[in-house]
Amino acid sequence: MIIASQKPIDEIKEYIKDYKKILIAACGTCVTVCLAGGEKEARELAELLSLDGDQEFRVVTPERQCDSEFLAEFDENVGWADVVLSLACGVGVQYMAERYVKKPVVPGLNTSFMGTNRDAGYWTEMCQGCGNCVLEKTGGICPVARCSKSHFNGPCGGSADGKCEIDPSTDCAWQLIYDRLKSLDQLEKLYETIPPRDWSTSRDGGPRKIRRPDVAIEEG
Amino acid sequence: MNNVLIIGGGLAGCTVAQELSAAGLDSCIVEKSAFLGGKVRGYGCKADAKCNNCGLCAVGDLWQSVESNQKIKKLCNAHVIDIFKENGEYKALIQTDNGIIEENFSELVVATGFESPDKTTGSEYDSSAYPRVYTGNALEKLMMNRKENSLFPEAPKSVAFIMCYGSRNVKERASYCSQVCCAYSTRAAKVIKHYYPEAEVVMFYMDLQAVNPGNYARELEEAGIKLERCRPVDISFDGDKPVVAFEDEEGKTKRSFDYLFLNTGIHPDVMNNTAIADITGLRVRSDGFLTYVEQPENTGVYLAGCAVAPMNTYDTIASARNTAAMLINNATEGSVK
Amino acid sequence: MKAVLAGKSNYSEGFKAALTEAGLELIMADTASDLKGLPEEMPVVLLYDAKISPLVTDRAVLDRSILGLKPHDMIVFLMDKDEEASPYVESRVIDAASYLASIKRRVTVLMRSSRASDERFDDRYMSARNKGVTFIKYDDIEISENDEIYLIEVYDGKISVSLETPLLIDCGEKPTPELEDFVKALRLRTYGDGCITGNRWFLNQGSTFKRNVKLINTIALDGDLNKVIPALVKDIHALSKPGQGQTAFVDSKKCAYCYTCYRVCPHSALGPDENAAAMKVNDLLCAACGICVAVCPASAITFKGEKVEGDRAEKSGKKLKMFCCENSALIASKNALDGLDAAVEAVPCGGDITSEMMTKALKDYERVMVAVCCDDACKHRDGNKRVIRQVERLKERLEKLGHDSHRLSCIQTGVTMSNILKGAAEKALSGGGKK
Repeated sequence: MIIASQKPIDEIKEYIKDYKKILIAACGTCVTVCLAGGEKEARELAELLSLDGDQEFRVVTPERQCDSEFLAEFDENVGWADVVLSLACGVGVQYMAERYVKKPVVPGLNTSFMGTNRDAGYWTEMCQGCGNCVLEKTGGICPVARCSKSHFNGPCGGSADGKCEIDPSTDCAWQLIYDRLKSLDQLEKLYETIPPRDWSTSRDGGPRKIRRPDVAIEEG
Repeated sequence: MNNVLIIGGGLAGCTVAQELSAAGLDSCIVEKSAFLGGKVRGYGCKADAKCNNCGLCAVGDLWQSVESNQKIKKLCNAHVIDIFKENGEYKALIQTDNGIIEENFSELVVATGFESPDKTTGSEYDSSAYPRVYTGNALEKLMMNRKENSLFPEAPKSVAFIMCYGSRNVKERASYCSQVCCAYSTRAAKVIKHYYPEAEVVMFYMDLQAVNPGNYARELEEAGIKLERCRPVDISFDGDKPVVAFEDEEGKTKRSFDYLFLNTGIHPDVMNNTAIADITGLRVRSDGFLTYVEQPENTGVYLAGCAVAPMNTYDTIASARNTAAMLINNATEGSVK
Repeated sequence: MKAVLAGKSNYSEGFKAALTEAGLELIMADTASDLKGLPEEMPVVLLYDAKISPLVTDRAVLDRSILGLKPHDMIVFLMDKDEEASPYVESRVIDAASYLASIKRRVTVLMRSSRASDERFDDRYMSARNKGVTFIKYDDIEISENDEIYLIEVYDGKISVSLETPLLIDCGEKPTPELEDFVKALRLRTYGDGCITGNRWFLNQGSTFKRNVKLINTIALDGDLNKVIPALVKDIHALSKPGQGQTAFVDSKKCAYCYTCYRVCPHSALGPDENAAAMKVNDLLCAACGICVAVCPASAITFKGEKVEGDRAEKSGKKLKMFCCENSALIASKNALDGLDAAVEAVPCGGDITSEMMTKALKDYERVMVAVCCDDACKHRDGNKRVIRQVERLKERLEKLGHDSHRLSCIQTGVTMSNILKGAAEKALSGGGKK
């Protein structure tokens, strides 16, 4: 799931301060689940930002902001607004901006990572979308996302008592990998060296695209 | 006809009435004082920084609820003079403000509770004459009237509790344990320490009930309460300050305190209980509390609450709910008289 | 009416008979796996099972254990070590000790306190003493073992006593591991140290946060099942109808299936509805506390038939708006706020109060106060603490926007703390905030 958190409210206020009619667009999928930008948060924001009384707010909640069909029903509300404050992840904000070319669309959230909800109110990063998954070699624990230094072949010298030297509250990924492979009785996988990676499959190669010609819809 | 006479409008009596009303049964509470609520209505919550499980939340808004419930007949300033069995029903003669009334009931519940704890054993330390001495009721009033930053009229430097005062001593009032005092007085002591962290709080005790699981004595000591294992010999006064004579490691000694709390315990009103037992066919035990002669399902006479034995808030509510459940059961099956 | 009798105990047979006689059709569940497939809302009578040393309960085992002892060896029964012994254990221990004394053994019973309030126990203590049993009361105890001899130091606040014994009988009741399994399988919400020892018994004795699960410590009843059976059976019958007039309702179209409400619900009343790919409320378990309504990030939960938000913050012309939990502050507020410029709104639980409600109130009132139960007193586990955190978050955000966060305050009170509530309201009205 995409995990995001709300921007500090004074920053949001700064973005919308010059506008009179603000449409707050929540999103019903990832950011609802991580309690950052769902309808409840949107309504809360609307109340809070309108305390001054000199701006008008409306709230809409498309199911998702990353599929254009979901946006269509809100065209009218967008038409009414001077600015759209989108509480979707970065994808949704941009998709809205693409659709509503003449309307400023500002983000209410900082999109952070792909991760999991460990406990109520606690989310951790699990995947960085590097485009070349090595989880088979590491017992299902990602060295890219969960090792602070993205080491591929064992821990750094700072791993102590299973914790990372960069952040002592973070588990050392390689400790986790070792423990897991041990319980799977697959410790010999650690002897298979993972060669230096071609990072062009990751963001480092530029914005990525995936095409599936077999499912494309041919026009004409 | 199902009409239940409830003698006593305290916690047990009102709980029974409320349960019966929820099940669609009529009841009539006869209460000797001017208000419903008995002793518990005068009790105060004993949370310090957090809840201490004193049980008053379980009571909730029972009093207001019963008072505003039209289905429950309430006769205050009233008492039962006599009860006759007639044609399988109970005819009760009740003295009220407006003269004597006669009414028929299918069952009786005796929920007469216990005697006012302000009457102590031996020396009478009524708080109005001795403002620095607090017995049961007065302690509760203190808790109830607590303000944000103060409990007492003056901040105390030292406070003492005498536990088992009037219980567990055959020569004095009662040989039994009153069940509730360790709990309520240690909670009150915690509250006092919470308000006045610098004050010395001493509890003179014989045994300590395990109020919370684990080593309760240690829990209290960590809260800063001093436990002195001894039974004080004498109470005297230096001006209006109470002086307690007791024995510690060094020998006999006397100390004065700013305030003194006496755990006067729960004691039955033996005269009242004897009268009630007479007219209802119950029996007074050797310790003064009431008990059944025959099974209530056969006689239609039930007991609830502290009329039976010393009980704390939860147990009283449980006892009353149980009595009500038996009554409701009998009503649905058809009363057997 | 069907009910599950879960767990084993020394009294399950007697209990089973009494419940069956009272008209319940019992489904036995000795272990947690026996619960599989049963409806979530089926009444469960969970026997708080306890393991007690057979040396206490079984004469034959006791006889065998003293075979190797010399006549002058001291036998020690240790009661109340971790928790106060129940009447059942107490009376069995006195019986066993009396028996040993009557066959001329030296016996000592260690206890923290005696719990006598009726004739029965006093007689037994006296008769045991007459037979030669020694009772020692202690506050602190230290036990060490040396070559199968136990060395015991007990301290009663003034003096300490040393004992030596080859046979130390621990009379503690230990919850069985099966109980833990039941707690997990039944999704019982715990608080603090767990729902069994930390049982929030002010919710009604024997209750847990889950409406259909009744806890019974049959050991503590000491055979006097009549003390609880009538009320228990009545409560079980009442479980066939929803407890509250209202229950929560999930709009499956808005539900994001995020499981937030499922995790938060103190009464385990929410569960997945696979057909709708959404959460569903179990009407028979819902306590209408409203916490799920407040917590749902998709605003997908309402009370059936009533809009929860929107109608609430009506302007009343008063200066202070007080949101009062109906379990504590509301009761304390009766008569306490007479003559004060305050409007009171009752909520079933502090946890119902959302940031949105408080902000709306700040538009209509000069001051807003949230009054909820003390820590550990919440009838819905931690609704009180949840709203206090929401108040803190809102205050931070108000400050960041340049508003005066002192206009918003919160207070924790008990049922009878009228003076404290009044004082807080006066303070808020005079311009000072409490927090």
